[in-house]
Parts: sequence; structure tokens; C-alpha cells
Amino acid sequence: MIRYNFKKTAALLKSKNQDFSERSFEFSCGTIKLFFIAQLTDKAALTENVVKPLILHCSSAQKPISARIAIDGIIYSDDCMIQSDISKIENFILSGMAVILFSTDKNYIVVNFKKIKQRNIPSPQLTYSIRGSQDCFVEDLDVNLSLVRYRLKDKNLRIKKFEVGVRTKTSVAVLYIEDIANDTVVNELQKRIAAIDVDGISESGELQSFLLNSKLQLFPNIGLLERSDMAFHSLLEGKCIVFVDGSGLALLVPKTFSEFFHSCDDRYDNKFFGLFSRILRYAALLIGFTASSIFVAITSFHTDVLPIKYAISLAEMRSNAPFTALMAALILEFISELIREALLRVPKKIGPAIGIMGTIVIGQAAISAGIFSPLLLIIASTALIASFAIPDYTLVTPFRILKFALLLFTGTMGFFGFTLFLTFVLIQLVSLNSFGVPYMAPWAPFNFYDFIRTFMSNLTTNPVRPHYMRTKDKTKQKQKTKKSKNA
Amino acid sequence: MKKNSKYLIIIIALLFLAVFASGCWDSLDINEKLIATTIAFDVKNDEIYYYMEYPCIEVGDEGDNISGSDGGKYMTIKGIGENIPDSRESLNKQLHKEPYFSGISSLILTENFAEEYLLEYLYRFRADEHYRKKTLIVTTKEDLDELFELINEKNDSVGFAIDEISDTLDDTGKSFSRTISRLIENLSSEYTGILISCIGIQDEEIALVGYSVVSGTKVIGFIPVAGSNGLVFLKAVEPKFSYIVPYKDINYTFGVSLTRKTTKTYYEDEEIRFDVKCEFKAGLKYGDKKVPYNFDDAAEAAVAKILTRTIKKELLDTINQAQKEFKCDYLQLDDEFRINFPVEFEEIDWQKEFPKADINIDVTFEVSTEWMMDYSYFETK
Repeated sequence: MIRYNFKKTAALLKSKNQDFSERSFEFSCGTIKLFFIAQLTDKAALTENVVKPLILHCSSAQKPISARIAIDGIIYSDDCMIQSDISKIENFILSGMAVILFSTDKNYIVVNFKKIKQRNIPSPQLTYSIRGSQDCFVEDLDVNLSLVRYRLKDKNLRIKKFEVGVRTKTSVAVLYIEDIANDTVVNELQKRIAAIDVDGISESGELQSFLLNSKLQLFPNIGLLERSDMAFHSLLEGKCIVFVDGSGLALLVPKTFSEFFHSCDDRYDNKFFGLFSRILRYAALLIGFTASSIFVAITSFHTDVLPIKYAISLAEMRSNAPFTALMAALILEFISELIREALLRVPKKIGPAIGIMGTIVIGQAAISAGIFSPLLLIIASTALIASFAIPDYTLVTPFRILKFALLLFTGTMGFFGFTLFLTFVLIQLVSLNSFGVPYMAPWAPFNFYDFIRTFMSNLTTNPVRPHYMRTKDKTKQKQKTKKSKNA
Repeated sequence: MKKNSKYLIIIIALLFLAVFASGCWDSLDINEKLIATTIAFDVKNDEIYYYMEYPCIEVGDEGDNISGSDGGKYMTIKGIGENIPDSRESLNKQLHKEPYFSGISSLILTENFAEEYLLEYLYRFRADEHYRKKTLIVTTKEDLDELFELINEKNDSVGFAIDEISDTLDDTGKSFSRTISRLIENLSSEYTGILISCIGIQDEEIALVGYSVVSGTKVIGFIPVAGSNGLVFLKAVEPKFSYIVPYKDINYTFGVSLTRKTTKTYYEDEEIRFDVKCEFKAGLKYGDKKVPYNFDDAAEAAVAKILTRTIKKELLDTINQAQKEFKCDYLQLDDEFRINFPVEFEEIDWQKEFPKADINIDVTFEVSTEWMMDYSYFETK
């Protein structure tokens, strides 16, 4: 145990950290030093609830003051504690707390008057919903926890806190409902978080990279959460949520392939529309991934599948094309990705100009010059639009990369290469798991009930949780009782 | 790490094997192929003429064009040789791109060519995997140069025109068509009797003019379209024709369709007998006079009798023509006999037995007036 020397400790704190603010009080009952970081502290509250009461008490007090006396009868704060470990004083101050040192006591008080300037709770940017609530998570962990607590008043909701990052000491919170969530998943998640040894993390995406099954993993098995209503629904499904202090996006664990196609609106709308929407999203992924490759396969290898009149029309469209179908498709897909990337980075005022330039340059000029055939342009545009139909964009990212590989396979070997590559992708998808849950559930292993539930039913009113989650509590609703004979 | 490297090497090796074993090294973009829409053959002065029609997909796409028109949508070229391979070689020398034959919609053979070279060409066609076996085959008595010139000058394809006409006639029950695959099937059987649609030019348009009779592998005759109703009733899928029936000073037009045909085969004392029962439905369409129509049961019976007599005569004439005139079973009764008496079929010579077979026709009619208005109500008023 480090021997406590009040003056030395105070001097060391100030010398090492020149942005620490220091407030000293010299009284007959002892010397009190208050350390805090001005930029992270609500100075008005600190003055009103700590400085003023201390001055009032100590100016007339005779007995030596101690941390216990101060915390019990002087300081007005609901979030304060007594600590004795000297080595942790600096960490407390760096985390935004105010530390009160007493010359007459080896113990010190840590008071939370953190006030960090941050934005208000915004509307969703990634997962827009028509009917759902519009509040999203922010960078402050406490605010995010409050949003969840506000919706979920279950006594079994557990919040486990971790500190990740040797230098940043970022707070990470894991939420789950204890009597629903699978213990295997919870334990595995906590184990992986506890095992992280890194300088620091600032965003949930960085934490996510430590939670993957393998460093070379391409497909996401962890979801992103932006909205508080989706967080609440996910917890009730038996999932775990990970919040990272400083990040407005939470992580959702586990997440299967089919769940990336679920949107919050599916819960709020008619179940038939939900069915239609999900089929549409699956079709969108298929189109976005395979449309260009199928065009190349038909144009270069398997013209026989086309009726002769279509074949003639296609030949006419490509009559002046300088590139082969494969080359043209690769170039066009590359340009689509360039535009997509540019639109993400461009300032808002210039954004429309990029769109116009893309339309005019690529659409009009390229076709007029005969560089690309109109049909290929339509296919590439449709594929681009289709990729935006998937609710969770993280699933689209690997397919955007694999699309080029599929094009190369198809351009080299026709439908044989197309089928070969798709087989590779399917094998990879089926072999993945998300914290023990099969990634392709309920497709593989096939479960009829979960399959119907994924497509046909409203997830909220469905009485049973998905079987592949292996939750402790499998039912969400009580069984319907038979009508009374007297009724 | 070593284990992972080993797996990686195995996967890469399998991939290379798959790539080299796929055989897909002959890719050629569709615009780099010369898409043939029609192929035709003729024989003149002991030389075989090989015609190929293709669409012009590029500006300035010119060849030694028969039609002689520049900038037309379809062009035709021909190769001449002493035999089929030579004529094809001659054609190939004129092509500026690799030909694509999988899109051919029609194969046209003149009767001169069909008489001598049909068998050889069917074998050639069967051996080449590039041809679609569902290609329509037709014969013609017209000069192919004139035929292609006439149609190509209208920016139309002969092949597509024939294909469309054939589809329309088949769908409306006015005719029946045959594909090359049907002919190729018969190559392996001992007996072949088949009809091939014959096209010609009428009023500067392509039209169906009749049917060429093929016995064995030779064209032995021709049946014109006029008077071939009986043939269509026996061969088409859902044949329909209109008939005018005079009854009580009014000429009534009926739409006659065959609803059911059953054939029973008998073989007794080395005599072959077929009982063919045809059930027809006649729907009254309209009359040619402005009087109230009152079709009672007696009228229906009378009309049915007239139609039965007419149709039965047509059917019997058709059978008589097949047995006596052509001595060729293009009605496919050999299939019926073979199904019921396979052993006996192998022992007899169907070419000789068919003309002697006793074929009976039984025709029944159901007359329907459901779409006609009965004016008898107005008469009583």
C-alpha cells in the first residue's frame, strides 16, 4: 500500500497534469484540496454542492474534517464515494470526476459532477423508420443506458460494466436480461471483452473487431443498433447489447444472417407487408450481388438461354462497345463504388453536384459514346439501388467486395464459375456462427417454425422466441386459455 | 500455421483444377457473333446452294448481299458447292464473324433438295450441337433468291416470318408444324411417314401453301392447303374451322372444333383395323339473313347431320389419299398399332400393310347455340 502524503500527492497531481484545476481550502479543521478538470465538470453544480457547503462547515468547525464526515453531512451529491487507493486518484480525475483530498484523512472523496458538451438525442440516420420512435443512441453511455431503462423496466435486466483500453479506459457496458439470455453467449461475450488488451478504443466498431471469431472474417456476425426501440426488442429476444462510451452505435450479439433483413417497421406494420418486404430484401441482395455476373455469363458464354430476338437486340446494343462484357461490367461496378464512396464523404452542399455529374457523365455521355451498352448500365444501376434496400448496411459491405470476385469467376468460366463461387460463399456462410448461434439459422440448420416465424409472423406478437437462440425463457406470451363454458 | 498453409495450397490447387477443367475458354461476346436467323438449301444444276440469313446489327454491315440493299435490317448470303460441306465452306469464306446457329428459327428446304439430300442433312444436323433441335423445318417450291429478296427488302426476316405464321396457325387450330427433332427421331426407326409444312409466296407475303409428303427420307408428294381440313382435324392439336351450313334458306356459319379423338386398333386374322371416333362441337356463330333465328331441337339435329356428313367425307378422303394415292402413313397410325401390337409390328412391313388397313371413321356432333340470340320470344310478341 502506498503511504499517503497529502502535500506530496497534491503537488504530484498538479505537476503532472497542468490542465487539472485545483481549489484549496485552508481551515483550522484541516486543508482540503479539490481537483477536477474544468472542461469535464459542471462547475456551477460543483460550487453549489461541494465548495459552498465545505466552506460553510469548515469555517466554523473545530474538529478535524474527514471524508466520512464530509460525505455524510456536508456534500450534496447522489453520486459520490469514499476511496483510499492513492494510485487511482489520477484515473478518477481523468474520467471527469472531482476528487476531494483531506490533509487529515488518508481517504478521499470522488464526486461525479461530469458535464460533457454533447449533442441532443438525434433522429436515426442509418435505420430510418416510418412508424417507430425517432430517438437514437448518443455518445454518452449514461444517456444510452437511460434510454434502455426507460423502455425496459425488468428487474432482470443486467448491466455489466467493463473498462477497455489501457490509456483511454473507455467504459463499455453489456446489457442482457438474465432470465432470457443464453448464458453461453453472455459468458463468451464477457470473456472476449475482458480479454481485450489494447491502448484504447473510441468507437463500437473498434470493439467489434476484437469480438470477431477470426481476424479474416468477412461477413458480420455482430449487428449495429442505433435505435432504442430496436435495442429493447433485441433484449427481449434474448440478445446482448454492448454500449461503448463515446459511440452512438451499440453492438448487438448474436446476430444471424436472416436477422440482417429485419427492419423495425416489420414489427409495426401488417405482417403481410412484412413478408413482402423481407422477400423484397432477399431479392434485392440477390440482384445486387449477381445481376452483373449473370449479364456477363449470358453475353459471353451462354447466349443460348436468350430467345433469338432478345439476343439480336442485345447484340445491337453492344455492337459498338469497345470492351468485352466482363471488362465493361468491372469498370461500371468500379465506377458505382466510386460514386457510392464519394457521396459518403462529400460535403452536403456539393452532394447534388456529384449526383448530377454521375448521371450525366456516366449515364448520358458513356452511352452516347458507345462505351457501355444501355442494358449493362440499367443492370448496374439496379444492382446499386438494390444494395440500399437492405436495412443493415454492414451485410451489404462484404457482398460489395465479393461481387467483383464473382464477376471474375463468371467472366472466366461462365455459369460454371458463377455456381462455383456461389457454392464457396454458401459454404462459408453455413460454417459461420455468431457466439455459438448458427449464422444461417433458421435456413441451416433448418427449423420450420423459425423459418415461418422469420417470414410470416409479426415478431412482436409471436408467442415464442426463436429456437436457435436457445434462450432460457422460450415463451413471450402465455398460452391462450379455452373459453369458459359459462361465458 | 503449417496446417493452414497446407489447406490453402489444397484449395488453390482445386481452384486451378476447376478452372482448367471447366472448358469455358471459348467465350465470345454476343456482338462478335454472326447470329443466323434462317438457313435454307436448294439444288440447282447439280450444285448445292447454302443460304444464311442474318440481322445487320452494325452500321455499314455489308456482305455479298443477295437482296442487294444497303442498310437493310436482314441480309442473306449464299455459298455454292458440289456437296453440303463444300457449300458450307464457300459460305464461311464470306463471313466476317463467327456464325452463331443456335438461334435459327426456321430451316427451309426446297423440294429438289429434300428429294435427294434430306437424309444426309438430317444426320449433319444431328451431329452438330450448335443447332437447336426444336428448329422448325419447312419446304418450299419457290426460288430461294426471290423469297429472301422479297422479304429482306421489307426489313423482315424470312425465318421469323415463317416462325410467326406457323405459331399463329398452330395456336388457332388451322395447321400443324413439325420440328427437326421429330424428323431426327424417325431416323432410327424403320418406317417414316411425315408431313412437312410447305411455304410459298402469296401476294408478296409468305404463306402456308400446303404440306410435303415425306416417305422414308424422300419427298414423294404435295397436299395443298385447300381441302386439307380433314388432314388438320386428324393431325393438329386443337383444330378449328368454320363451316357454312345451309338450312331453311339461311346459311349458318358454325365454328367446328374437334373435342376428342379416340383410336382403337384391332389385328385379327392378319388384318389390321382401326376404329377412329371423332367428337366434334359446332358452335353457331351467325346467319346471313336478317330474320329471327329459332334453333330448336329439330334444327340442331338437321345441322348436326349435315356437318357429320361433310366432315366424315373430308376425313375419309384424307385417309383414302394417304392409303391409295401416297401409300404413306403420315397419319401416324403406325404408332397406334405399334403400341397395341408391338410384336406383330416388328414382323410386318408397315409400308405394305398400311394401304390395306381397314380404317373406319365415326363422327359425332354436338351443336351449340349458346352464344346466339333466340328471337322466338319476339315472334310470339
